Amino acid sequence: MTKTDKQQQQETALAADLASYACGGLPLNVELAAAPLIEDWYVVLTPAGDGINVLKIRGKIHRYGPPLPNGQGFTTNAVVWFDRHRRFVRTSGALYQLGRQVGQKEAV
Amino acid sequence: MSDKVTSGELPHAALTMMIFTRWDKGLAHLIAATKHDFPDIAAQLQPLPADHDALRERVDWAVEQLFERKDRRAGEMAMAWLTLAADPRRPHTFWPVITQLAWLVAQVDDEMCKHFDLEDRLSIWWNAARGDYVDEKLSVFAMAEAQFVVDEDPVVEDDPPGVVVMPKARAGKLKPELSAGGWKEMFDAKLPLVVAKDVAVIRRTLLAEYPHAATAIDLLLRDLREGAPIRMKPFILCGPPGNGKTRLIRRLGDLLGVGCYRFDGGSSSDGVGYGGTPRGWGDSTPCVPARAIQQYQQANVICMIDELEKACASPRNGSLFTVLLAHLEVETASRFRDASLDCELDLSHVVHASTANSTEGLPAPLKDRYRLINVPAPRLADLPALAANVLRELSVESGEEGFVWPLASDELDVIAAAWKRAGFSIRKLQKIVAATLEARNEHAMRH
Repeated sequence: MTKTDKQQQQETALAADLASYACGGLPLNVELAAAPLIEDWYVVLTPAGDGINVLKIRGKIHRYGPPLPNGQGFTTNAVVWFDRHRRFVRTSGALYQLGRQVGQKEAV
Repeated sequence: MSDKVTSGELPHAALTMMIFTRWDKGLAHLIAATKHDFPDIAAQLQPLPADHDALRERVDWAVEQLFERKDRRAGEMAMAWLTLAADPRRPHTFWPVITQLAWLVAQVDDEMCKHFDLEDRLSIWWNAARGDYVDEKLSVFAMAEAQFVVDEDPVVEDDPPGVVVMPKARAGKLKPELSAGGWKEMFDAKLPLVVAKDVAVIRRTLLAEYPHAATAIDLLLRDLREGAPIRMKPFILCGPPGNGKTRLIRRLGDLLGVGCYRFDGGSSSDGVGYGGTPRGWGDSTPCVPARAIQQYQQANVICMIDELEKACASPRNGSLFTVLLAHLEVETASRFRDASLDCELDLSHVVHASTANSTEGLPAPLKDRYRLINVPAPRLADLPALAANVLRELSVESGEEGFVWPLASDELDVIAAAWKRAGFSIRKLQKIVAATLEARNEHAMRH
Protein backbone atom coordinates (compact mmCIF):
# COMPACT_ATOMS: atom_id res chain seq x y z
CA MET A 1 0.00 0.00 0.00
CA THR A 2 1.46 3.39 -0.93
CA LYS A 3 1.69 6.24 1.54
CA THR A 4 -0.91 8.18 -0.42
CA ASP A 5 -3.36 5.32 -0.08
CA LYS A 6 -2.72 5.18 3.63
CA GLN A 7 -3.29 8.92 3.97
CA GLN A 8 -6.44 8.65 1.93
CA GLN A 9 -7.66 5.84 4.18
CA GLN A 10 -6.87 7.91 7.29
CA GLU A 11 -8.74 10.89 5.94
CA THR A 12 -11.77 8.78 5.09
CA ALA A 13 -11.75 7.18 8.54
CA LEU A 14 -11.37 10.59 10.20
CA ALA A 15 -14.25 12.08 8.25
CA ALA A 16 -16.46 9.10 9.15
CA ASP A 17 -15.52 9.28 12.82
CA LEU A 18 -16.06 13.04 13.04
CA ALA A 19 -19.41 12.73 11.30
CA SER A 20 -20.40 10.10 13.82
CA TYR A 21 -19.21 12.08 16.88
CA ALA A 22 -20.94 15.18 15.56
CA CYS A 23 -24.22 13.24 15.62
CA GLY A 24 -23.63 12.20 19.24
CA GLY A 25 -21.97 8.90 18.33
CA LEU A 26 -19.12 7.40 20.34
CA PRO A 27 -16.30 5.04 19.46
CA LEU A 28 -17.24 1.39 19.92
CA ASN A 29 -16.12 -0.20 23.17
CA VAL A 30 -13.87 -2.56 21.21
CA GLU A 31 -12.29 0.40 19.43
CA LEU A 32 -11.62 2.17 22.71
CA ALA A 33 -10.29 -0.99 24.33
CA ALA A 34 -7.85 -1.42 21.46
CA ALA A 35 -6.85 2.27 21.34
CA PRO A 36 -3.72 3.52 23.12
CA LEU A 37 -4.53 4.74 26.62
CA ILE A 38 -3.08 7.96 28.03
CA GLU A 39 -2.79 8.11 31.79
CA ASP A 40 -1.88 11.14 33.91
CA TRP A 41 -2.73 13.30 30.97
CA TYR A 42 -2.99 17.04 30.66
CA VAL A 43 -3.81 19.47 27.89
CA VAL A 44 -1.12 21.39 26.03
CA LEU A 45 -2.03 24.32 23.83
CA THR A 46 0.66 25.29 21.37
CA PRO A 47 0.84 27.95 18.68
CA ALA A 48 1.29 26.45 15.25
CA GLY A 49 2.09 29.66 13.35
CA ASP A 50 -0.14 32.21 11.56
CA GLY A 51 -2.29 32.62 14.64
CA ILE A 52 -3.27 28.95 14.49
CA ASN A 53 -3.17 27.02 17.75
CA VAL A 54 -3.44 23.32 18.38
CA LEU A 55 -4.57 21.33 21.38
CA LYS A 56 -2.55 18.23 22.24
CA ILE A 57 -2.67 15.69 25.04
CA ARG A 58 0.47 14.90 26.95
CA GLY A 59 0.80 12.03 29.43
CA LYS A 60 1.96 8.44 29.88
CA ILE A 61 1.11 6.13 27.03
CA HIS A 62 -0.13 2.58 27.45
CA ARG A 63 -1.14 -0.09 24.93
CA TYR A 64 0.74 1.68 22.16
CA GLY A 65 2.92 -1.31 21.41
CA PRO A 66 6.53 -1.27 20.20
CA PRO A 67 8.57 0.83 20.19
CA LEU A 68 6.85 2.64 23.08
CA PRO A 69 6.84 0.81 26.41
CA ASN A 70 3.93 1.30 28.77
CA GLY A 71 4.36 4.41 30.91
CA GLN A 72 6.49 6.22 28.32
CA GLY A 73 5.98 10.00 28.17
CA PHE A 74 3.98 10.86 25.08
CA THR A 75 2.38 13.81 23.28
CA THR A 76 -0.36 13.34 20.71
CA ASN A 77 -0.68 15.19 17.43
CA ALA A 78 -3.26 17.99 17.22
CA VAL A 79 -6.58 16.85 18.63
CA VAL A 80 -9.50 17.31 16.26
CA TRP A 81 -12.20 15.97 18.59
CA PHE A 82 -12.09 16.21 22.36
CA ASP A 83 -14.85 14.23 24.04
CA ARG A 84 -16.79 16.51 26.38
CA HIS A 85 -16.80 13.78 29.04
CA ARG A 86 -13.03 13.30 28.65
CA ARG A 87 -13.27 9.64 27.71
CA PHE A 88 -11.33 9.90 24.45
CA VAL A 89 -9.69 12.21 21.94
CA ARG A 90 -9.31 11.82 18.20
CA THR A 91 -6.36 13.16 16.24
CA SER A 92 -6.20 13.08 12.47
CA GLY A 93 -4.46 9.71 12.61
CA ALA A 94 -5.54 7.95 15.77
CA LEU A 95 -8.02 7.46 18.58
CA TYR A 96 -6.80 7.62 22.19
CA GLN A 97 -8.58 6.58 25.32
CA LEU A 98 -8.13 9.03 28.18
CA GLY A 99 -7.44 7.63 31.60
CA ARG A 100 -6.78 9.52 34.79
CA GLN A 101 -6.14 13.22 34.40
CA VAL A 102 -3.06 14.51 36.16
CA GLY A 103 -3.64 16.98 39.01
CA GLN A 104 -7.25 17.19 37.98
CA LYS A 105 -8.14 19.89 40.45
CA GLU A 106 -5.16 22.05 39.51
CA ALA A 107 -5.97 21.67 35.81
CA VAL A 108 -9.54 22.71 36.45
CA MET B 1 -16.18 34.04 -5.50
CA SER B 2 -17.44 30.74 -4.23
CA ASP B 3 -21.10 29.87 -3.82
CA LYS B 4 -20.55 29.50 -0.11
CA VAL B 5 -19.43 33.09 0.23
CA THR B 6 -22.13 34.35 -2.05
CA SER B 7 -24.64 32.54 0.10
CA GLY B 8 -23.45 34.46 3.14
CA GLU B 9 -24.59 31.51 5.24
CA LEU B 10 -22.23 29.90 7.67
CA PRO B 11 -22.26 26.16 7.11
CA HIS B 12 -22.66 25.12 10.76
CA ALA B 13 -24.78 26.32 13.68
CA ALA B 14 -21.70 26.42 15.95
CA LEU B 15 -19.96 28.78 13.50
CA THR B 16 -23.04 31.00 13.48
CA MET B 17 -22.72 31.19 17.27
CA MET B 18 -19.20 32.56 16.88
CA ILE B 19 -20.46 35.77 15.33
CA PHE B 20 -22.77 36.64 18.20
CA THR B 21 -21.55 39.60 20.18
CA ARG B 22 -22.93 38.55 23.54
CA TRP B 23 -23.62 35.31 25.42
CA ASP B 24 -27.27 36.16 26.07
CA LYS B 25 -27.85 36.99 22.41
CA GLY B 26 -26.47 33.61 21.48
CA LEU B 27 -28.69 32.00 24.08
CA ALA B 28 -31.79 33.75 22.74
CA HIS B 29 -30.93 32.67 19.22
CA LEU B 30 -30.41 29.05 20.24
CA ILE B 31 -33.61 28.90 22.23
CA ALA B 32 -35.53 30.15 19.19
CA ALA B 33 -33.74 27.68 16.88
CA THR B 34 -34.28 24.79 19.30
CA LYS B 35 -37.92 25.72 19.69
CA HIS B 36 -38.22 25.51 15.95
CA ASP B 37 -36.47 22.18 15.39
CA PHE B 38 -36.82 20.45 18.77
CA PRO B 39 -39.85 21.97 20.50
CA ASP B 40 -39.98 19.23 23.15
CA ILE B 41 -36.44 20.04 24.33
CA ALA B 42 -37.06 23.79 24.13
CA ALA B 43 -40.21 23.39 26.24
CA GLN B 44 -38.19 21.78 29.02
CA LEU B 45 -35.58 24.53 28.90
CA GLN B 46 -38.04 27.17 29.96
CA PRO B 47 -38.58 29.09 32.11
CA LEU B 48 -34.91 29.93 32.20
CA PRO B 49 -33.45 30.31 35.70
CA ALA B 50 -32.10 33.72 36.66
CA ASP B 51 -29.17 32.20 38.50
CA HIS B 52 -26.09 32.06 36.30
CA ASP B 53 -24.85 28.66 37.43
CA ALA B 54 -28.31 27.16 37.06
CA LEU B 55 -28.48 28.65 33.59
CA ARG B 56 -25.20 26.98 32.64
CA GLU B 57 -26.50 23.68 33.98
CA ARG B 58 -29.50 24.09 31.70
CA VAL B 59 -27.10 24.65 28.79
CA ASP B 60 -25.24 21.43 29.65
CA TRP B 61 -28.56 19.61 29.83
CA ALA B 62 -29.51 20.86 26.34
CA VAL B 63 -26.17 19.63 24.96
CA GLU B 64 -26.74 16.14 26.35
CA GLN B 65 -30.36 15.94 25.23
CA LEU B 66 -29.50 16.98 21.70
CA PHE B 67 -26.52 14.63 21.36
CA GLU B 68 -28.80 11.85 22.63
CA ARG B 69 -30.95 12.26 19.53
CA LYS B 70 -28.08 10.86 17.46
CA ASP B 71 -28.88 12.71 14.28
CA ARG B 72 -27.00 15.28 12.28
CA ARG B 73 -29.20 18.34 12.89
CA ALA B 74 -29.49 17.61 16.61
CA GLY B 75 -25.72 17.09 16.82
CA GLU B 76 -25.13 20.41 15.07
CA MET B 77 -27.44 22.15 17.52
CA ALA B 78 -25.71 20.39 20.42
CA MET B 79 -22.37 21.76 19.21
CA ALA B 80 -23.90 25.22 19.02
CA TRP B 81 -25.15 24.88 22.62
CA LEU B 82 -21.70 23.65 23.64
CA THR B 83 -20.28 27.06 22.67
CA LEU B 84 -22.43 28.57 25.43
CA ALA B 85 -20.94 26.15 27.94
CA ALA B 86 -17.49 27.64 27.39
CA ASP B 87 -16.66 29.93 30.31
CA PRO B 88 -13.43 32.00 30.20
CA ARG B 89 -13.11 31.66 33.98
CA ARG B 90 -12.91 27.87 33.54
CA PRO B 91 -10.55 27.29 30.59
CA HIS B 92 -11.14 23.51 30.56
CA THR B 93 -14.71 24.19 29.40
CA PHE B 94 -13.17 25.26 26.10
CA TRP B 95 -11.41 21.96 25.38
CA PRO B 96 -14.36 20.13 23.79
CA VAL B 97 -15.41 23.30 21.94
CA ILE B 98 -12.20 24.76 20.62
CA THR B 99 -11.00 21.67 18.74
CA GLN B 100 -14.30 21.30 16.95
CA LEU B 101 -14.58 25.02 16.21
CA ALA B 102 -11.03 25.07 14.85
CA TRP B 103 -11.86 22.11 12.65
CA LEU B 104 -15.08 23.74 11.43
CA VAL B 105 -13.33 27.05 10.72
CA ALA B 106 -10.64 25.18 8.79
CA GLN B 107 -13.35 23.75 6.53
CA VAL B 108 -14.66 27.22 5.65
CA ASP B 109 -13.10 28.88 2.64
CA ASP B 110 -10.86 31.92 3.06
CA GLU B 111 -13.31 34.48 1.78
CA MET B 112 -16.07 33.44 4.12
CA CYS B 113 -13.58 33.33 6.99
CA LYS B 114 -12.56 36.89 6.24
CA HIS B 115 -16.13 37.97 5.72
CA PHE B 116 -17.14 36.85 9.21
CA ASP B 117 -13.73 37.50 10.88
CA LEU B 118 -13.79 33.86 11.94
CA GLU B 119 -10.06 33.44 12.44
CA ASP B 120 -9.77 36.60 14.51
CA ARG B 121 -12.68 35.48 16.64
CA LEU B 122 -11.26 31.99 16.96
CA SER B 123 -7.95 33.38 18.23
CA ILE B 124 -9.83 34.88 21.21
CA TRP B 125 -11.40 31.46 21.88
CA TRP B 126 -7.91 29.95 21.87
CA ASN B 127 -6.70 32.59 24.31
CA ALA B 128 -9.62 31.79 26.59
CA ALA B 129 -8.81 28.07 26.37
CA ARG B 130 -5.25 28.91 27.40
CA GLY B 131 -6.58 30.68 30.50
CA ASP B 132 -5.79 34.24 29.45
CA TYR B 133 -9.17 35.52 30.65
CA VAL B 134 -9.72 33.71 33.95
CA ASP B 135 -10.24 37.03 35.73
CA GLU B 136 -12.53 38.49 33.07
CA LYS B 137 -16.21 38.95 33.70
CA LEU B 138 -17.09 39.15 30.02
CA SER B 139 -18.11 36.15 27.94
CA VAL B 140 -15.88 34.94 25.15
CA PHE B 141 -18.47 36.24 22.67
CA ALA B 142 -18.15 39.79 24.02
CA MET B 143 -14.37 39.55 24.09
CA ALA B 144 -14.20 38.27 20.53
CA GLU B 145 -16.37 41.20 19.46
CA ALA B 146 -14.42 43.74 21.52
CA GLN B 147 -11.40 43.40 19.25
CA PHE B 148 -13.41 44.95 16.40
CA VAL B 149 -14.81 47.88 18.36
CA VAL B 150 -13.11 51.16 17.64
CA ASP B 151 -13.47 53.89 20.22
CA GLU B 152 -14.97 57.01 18.78
CA ASP B 153 -14.74 60.56 19.99
CA PRO B 154 -17.28 61.21 22.73
CA VAL B 155 -20.51 62.64 21.44
CA VAL B 156 -22.02 65.63 23.21
CA GLU B 157 -25.38 64.30 24.29
CA ASP B 158 -27.31 67.56 24.07
CA ASP B 159 -26.28 68.04 20.47
CA PRO B 160 -28.39 65.74 18.29
CA PRO B 161 -26.22 64.08 15.66
CA GLY B 162 -26.37 65.65 12.25
CA VAL B 163 -24.28 66.52 9.25
CA VAL B 164 -24.14 69.18 6.57
CA VAL B 165 -24.59 67.25 3.35
CA MET B 166 -24.43 70.20 0.97
CA PRO B 167 -21.94 72.88 2.11
CA LYS B 168 -22.40 76.12 0.19
CA ALA B 169 -18.67 76.81 0.28
CA ARG B 170 -18.11 73.83 -2.00
CA ALA B 171 -20.91 74.54 -4.44
CA GLY B 172 -21.31 76.37 -7.71
CA LYS B 173 -24.46 78.21 -8.73
CA LEU B 174 -27.62 76.12 -8.72
CA LYS B 175 -29.65 75.83 -11.90
CA PRO B 176 -32.99 77.67 -11.48
CA GLU B 177 -35.13 74.52 -11.71
CA LEU B 178 -33.06 72.84 -8.96
CA SER B 179 -33.15 75.96 -6.83
CA ALA B 180 -36.92 75.99 -7.11
CA GLY B 181 -37.06 72.27 -6.42
CA GLY B 182 -36.00 72.58 -2.80
CA TRP B 183 -32.25 72.13 -3.28
CA LYS B 184 -31.45 75.71 -2.32
CA GLU B 185 -32.69 75.02 1.24
CA MET B 186 -30.21 72.17 1.50
CA PHE B 187 -27.21 74.56 1.47
CA ASP B 188 -25.45 74.43 4.85
CA ALA B 189 -28.48 72.75 6.42
CA LYS B 190 -27.49 70.36 9.19
CA LEU B 191 -29.55 67.27 8.43
CA PRO B 192 -30.29 64.84 11.26
CA LEU B 193 -28.64 61.47 11.55
CA VAL B 194 -31.21 58.94 12.74
CA VAL B 195 -29.91 56.94 15.71
CA ALA B 196 -30.54 53.27 16.41
CA LYS B 197 -33.20 52.70 19.04
CA ASP B 198 -34.60 49.45 20.42
CA VAL B 199 -32.46 47.29 18.17
CA ALA B 200 -33.42 44.19 20.18
CA VAL B 201 -37.12 44.87 19.60
CA ILE B 202 -36.49 45.46 15.89
CA ARG B 203 -34.60 42.17 15.72
CA ARG B 204 -37.41 40.25 17.40
CA THR B 205 -39.98 41.85 15.07
CA LEU B 206 -38.00 41.00 11.96
CA LEU B 207 -37.31 37.44 13.13
CA ALA B 208 -41.01 36.92 13.74
CA GLU B 209 -41.93 38.29 10.32
CA TYR B 210 -39.09 36.73 8.32
CA PRO B 211 -38.20 33.53 10.19
CA HIS B 212 -36.40 32.10 7.16
CA ALA B 213 -33.97 35.06 7.09
CA ALA B 214 -32.70 34.80 10.69
CA THR B 215 -29.00 34.77 9.78
CA ALA B 216 -29.45 37.67 7.35
CA ILE B 217 -31.27 39.73 9.97
CA ASP B 218 -28.52 39.22 12.53
CA LEU B 219 -25.87 40.16 10.00
CA LEU B 220 -27.78 43.30 9.00
CA LEU B 221 -28.23 44.45 12.58
CA ARG B 222 -24.73 43.69 13.80
CA ASP B 223 -23.40 47.09 12.59
CA LEU B 224 -25.87 48.97 14.76
CA ARG B 225 -25.10 50.34 18.20
CA GLU B 226 -27.92 51.43 20.46
CA GLY B 227 -28.07 55.22 20.60
CA ALA B 228 -25.45 55.71 17.85
CA PRO B 229 -26.27 57.05 14.36
CA ILE B 230 -27.37 54.29 12.03
CA ARG B 231 -24.53 53.30 9.76
CA MET B 232 -24.32 50.03 7.89
CA LYS B 233 -21.83 48.53 5.51
CA PRO B 234 -23.18 48.28 1.95
CA PHE B 235 -24.94 44.95 1.55
CA ILE B 236 -26.60 42.80 -1.07
CA LEU B 237 -29.36 40.41 -0.09
CA CYS B 238 -28.98 37.44 -2.42
CA GLY B 239 -31.51 34.72 -2.91
CA PRO B 240 -34.16 33.19 -5.14
CA PRO B 241 -36.90 35.43 -6.59
CA GLY B 242 -39.89 36.14 -4.40
CA ASN B 243 -38.36 35.25 -1.05
CA GLY B 244 -38.98 38.64 0.53
CA LYS B 245 -35.59 40.37 0.09
CA THR B 246 -37.04 43.71 -1.01
CA ARG B 247 -39.74 43.64 1.64
CA LEU B 248 -37.17 42.84 4.31
CA ILE B 249 -35.10 45.92 3.38
CA ARG B 250 -38.19 48.15 3.29
CA ARG B 251 -39.33 46.80 6.65
CA LEU B 252 -35.85 47.35 8.08
CA GLY B 253 -35.97 50.97 6.88
CA ASP B 254 -39.41 51.45 8.44
CA LEU B 255 -38.47 49.92 11.77
CA LEU B 256 -35.20 51.85 12.01
CA GLY B 257 -37.01 55.03 11.04
CA VAL B 258 -34.57 55.87 8.25
CA GLY B 259 -36.86 55.14 5.31
CA CYS B 260 -35.96 53.42 2.09
CA TYR B 261 -35.51 55.00 -1.36
CA ARG B 262 -35.92 52.39 -4.11
CA PHE B 263 -34.11 52.36 -7.44
CA ASP B 264 -34.86 49.67 -10.00
CA GLY B 265 -31.62 48.06 -11.14
CA GLY B 266 -33.42 46.21 -13.93
CA SER B 267 -34.44 49.43 -15.64
CA SER B 268 -30.97 50.93 -15.51
CA SER B 269 -29.40 50.78 -18.93
CA ASP B 270 -26.53 53.08 -17.94
CA GLY B 271 -25.14 54.95 -14.94
CA VAL B 272 -27.03 58.14 -15.69
CA GLY B 273 -30.15 57.16 -13.75
CA TYR B 274 -28.34 56.47 -10.50
CA GLY B 275 -25.45 58.85 -10.91
CA GLY B 276 -27.64 61.75 -12.01
CA THR B 277 -27.44 63.74 -15.23
CA PRO B 278 -24.80 66.35 -16.06
CA ARG B 279 -25.48 70.02 -15.53
CA GLY B 280 -25.28 70.71 -19.24
CA TRP B 281 -28.40 68.66 -19.94
CA GLY B 282 -31.67 70.51 -20.30
CA ASP B 283 -33.32 68.68 -17.43
CA SER B 284 -30.49 67.63 -15.15
CA THR B 285 -31.11 65.45 -12.08
CA PRO B 286 -28.92 64.88 -9.01
CA CYS B 287 -27.71 61.41 -8.14
CA VAL B 288 -30.02 58.95 -6.39
CA PRO B 289 -28.41 59.14 -2.90
CA ALA B 290 -28.71 62.96 -2.98
CA ARG B 291 -32.35 62.69 -4.08
CA ALA B 292 -33.01 60.20 -1.27
CA ILE B 293 -31.47 62.53 1.32
CA GLN B 294 -33.45 65.47 0.02
CA GLN B 295 -36.70 63.53 0.03
CA TYR B 296 -36.28 62.18 3.57
CA GLN B 297 -34.46 65.26 4.93
CA GLN B 298 -31.97 63.13 6.81
CA ALA B 299 -28.38 62.15 6.07
CA ASN B 300 -28.67 58.41 6.69
CA VAL B 301 -31.34 56.95 4.47
CA ILE B 302 -31.41 53.50 2.87
CA CYS B 303 -30.83 53.63 -0.90
CA MET B 304 -32.01 50.30 -2.22
CA ILE B 305 -31.20 49.03 -5.70
CA ASP B 306 -33.65 46.29 -6.56
CA GLU B 307 -32.36 43.46 -8.75
CA LEU B 308 -28.87 44.86 -9.05
CA GLU B 309 -27.66 42.00 -11.23
CA LYS B 310 -30.19 42.92 -13.92
CA ALA B 311 -28.57 46.32 -14.56
CA CYS B 312 -26.85 46.64 -17.91
CA ALA B 313 -23.09 46.27 -17.52
CA SER B 314 -22.26 48.13 -20.75
CA PRO B 315 -19.79 50.95 -20.05
CA ARG B 316 -21.62 53.30 -22.49
CA ASN B 317 -22.61 56.45 -20.57
CA GLY B 318 -21.07 54.84 -17.49
CA SER B 319 -22.64 51.66 -16.18
CA LEU B 320 -24.52 51.55 -12.89
CA PHE B 321 -21.74 49.32 -11.54
CA THR B 322 -19.05 51.93 -12.23
CA VAL B 323 -21.13 54.76 -10.82
CA LEU B 324 -21.82 52.78 -7.66
CA LEU B 325 -18.14 52.30 -6.83
CA ALA B 326 -17.74 55.96 -5.88
CA HIS B 327 -20.74 55.77 -3.56
CA LEU B 328 -19.74 52.60 -1.73
CA GLU B 329 -16.45 53.87 -0.34
CA VAL B 330 -16.94 56.14 2.68
CA GLU B 331 -13.93 58.24 1.73
CA THR B 332 -15.11 59.07 -1.80
CA ALA B 333 -18.76 59.30 -0.78
CA SER B 334 -17.92 61.93 1.82
CA ARG B 335 -16.63 64.22 -0.94
CA PHE B 336 -18.84 63.28 -3.87
CA ARG B 337 -19.11 65.99 -6.51
CA ASP B 338 -22.59 65.83 -7.95
CA ALA B 339 -22.51 66.83 -11.62
CA SER B 340 -26.03 68.22 -11.60
CA LEU B 341 -25.83 70.24 -8.37
CA ASP B 342 -22.21 71.20 -9.02
CA CYS B 343 -21.55 70.71 -5.33
CA GLU B 344 -19.31 68.50 -3.22
CA LEU B 345 -21.73 66.43 -1.14
CA ASP B 346 -21.20 64.37 1.99
CA LEU B 347 -23.09 61.18 1.13
CA SER B 348 -21.04 58.98 3.44
CA HIS B 349 -23.93 58.20 5.81
CA VAL B 350 -26.20 56.74 3.14
CA VAL B 351 -26.92 53.03 3.65
CA HIS B 352 -26.43 51.21 0.36
CA ALA B 353 -28.64 48.15 0.07
CA SER B 354 -29.28 45.95 -2.94
CA THR B 355 -31.13 42.81 -3.81
CA ALA B 356 -29.99 40.22 -6.32
CA ASN B 357 -31.06 36.76 -7.37
CA SER B 358 -27.42 35.98 -8.06
CA THR B 359 -24.16 37.86 -7.78
CA GLU B 360 -22.43 35.84 -10.48
CA GLY B 361 -22.43 38.58 -13.13
CA LEU B 362 -21.38 41.39 -10.82
CA PRO B 363 -17.86 42.75 -11.25
CA ALA B 364 -15.38 41.70 -8.56
CA PRO B 365 -14.58 45.28 -7.39
CA LEU B 366 -18.27 45.79 -6.72
CA LYS B 367 -18.66 42.50 -4.83
CA ASP B 368 -15.63 43.35 -2.70
CA ARG B 369 -17.34 46.52 -1.52
CA TYR B 370 -20.60 44.84 -0.57
CA ARG B 371 -21.36 42.45 2.22
CA LEU B 372 -23.07 39.55 0.48
CA ILE B 373 -25.85 38.13 2.60
CA ASN B 374 -27.92 35.14 1.60
CA VAL B 375 -31.64 35.04 2.19
CA PRO B 376 -32.66 31.43 1.68
CA ALA B 377 -36.05 30.40 0.35
CA PRO B 378 -38.61 30.06 3.13
CA ARG B 379 -39.37 26.57 4.40
CA LEU B 380 -42.71 24.97 4.95
CA ALA B 381 -42.16 25.39 8.70
CA ASP B 382 -42.12 29.19 8.17
CA LEU B 383 -45.58 29.17 6.61
CA PRO B 384 -47.70 29.98 9.70
CA ALA B 385 -45.64 33.12 10.48
CA LEU B 386 -45.39 34.24 6.86
CA ALA B 387 -49.06 33.57 6.11
CA ALA B 388 -50.04 35.54 9.21
CA ASN B 389 -47.95 38.48 7.94
CA VAL B 390 -49.55 38.33 4.52
CA LEU B 391 -53.00 38.10 6.09
CA ARG B 392 -52.28 41.17 8.21
CA GLU B 393 -51.02 43.13 5.19
CA LEU B 394 -54.05 42.16 3.12
CA SER B 395 -56.40 43.16 5.91
CA VAL B 396 -54.67 46.55 6.21
CA GLU B 397 -54.86 47.07 2.44
CA SER B 398 -58.57 46.23 2.40
CA GLY B 399 -59.27 48.46 5.39
CA GLU B 400 -60.41 45.47 7.45
CA GLU B 401 -57.55 45.39 9.91
CA GLY B 402 -58.58 43.41 12.96
CA PHE B 403 -61.70 42.08 11.25
CA VAL B 404 -60.15 39.12 9.42
CA TRP B 405 -60.21 35.78 11.19
CA PRO B 406 -56.85 34.03 11.49
CA LEU B 407 -56.25 31.19 9.05
CA ALA B 408 -57.70 27.89 10.22
CA SER B 409 -55.55 24.78 10.21
CA ASP B 410 -57.40 23.26 7.24
CA GLU B 411 -56.90 26.52 5.32
CA LEU B 412 -53.20 26.45 6.20
CA ASP B 413 -52.99 22.86 4.92
CA VAL B 414 -54.46 23.91 1.57
CA ILE B 415 -52.18 26.96 1.43
CA ALA B 416 -49.16 24.80 2.29
CA ALA B 417 -49.86 22.41 -0.59
CA ALA B 418 -50.33 25.26 -3.07
CA TRP B 419 -47.28 27.13 -1.77
CA LYS B 420 -45.11 24.06 -2.08
CA ARG B 421 -46.16 23.73 -5.72
CA ALA B 422 -45.34 27.44 -6.22
CA GLY B 423 -41.78 26.93 -5.01
CA PHE B 424 -42.09 28.69 -1.60
CA SER B 425 -42.23 32.18 -3.08
CA ILE B 426 -43.58 34.88 -0.74
CA ARG B 427 -44.91 36.74 -3.76
CA LYS B 428 -46.92 33.65 -4.69
CA LEU B 429 -47.97 33.22 -1.07
CA GLN B 430 -49.71 36.60 -1.20
CA LYS B 431 -51.82 35.43 -4.13
CA ILE B 432 -52.56 32.10 -2.48
CA VAL B 433 -53.66 33.71 0.80
CA ALA B 434 -55.74 36.27 -1.11
CA ALA B 435 -57.41 33.45 -3.05
CA THR B 436 -58.04 31.58 0.21
CA LEU B 437 -59.73 34.65 1.69
CA GLU B 438 -61.81 35.04 -1.43
CA ALA B 439 -62.86 31.40 -1.24
CA ARG B 440 -63.70 31.88 2.42
CA ASN B 441 -65.89 34.88 1.62
CA GLU B 442 -67.67 33.08 -1.20
CA HIS B 443 -68.27 30.15 1.07
CA ALA B 444 -69.68 32.46 3.74
CA MET B 445 -72.02 34.10 1.23
CA ARG B 446 -73.43 30.79 0.03
CA HIS B 447 -74.43 29.76 3.52
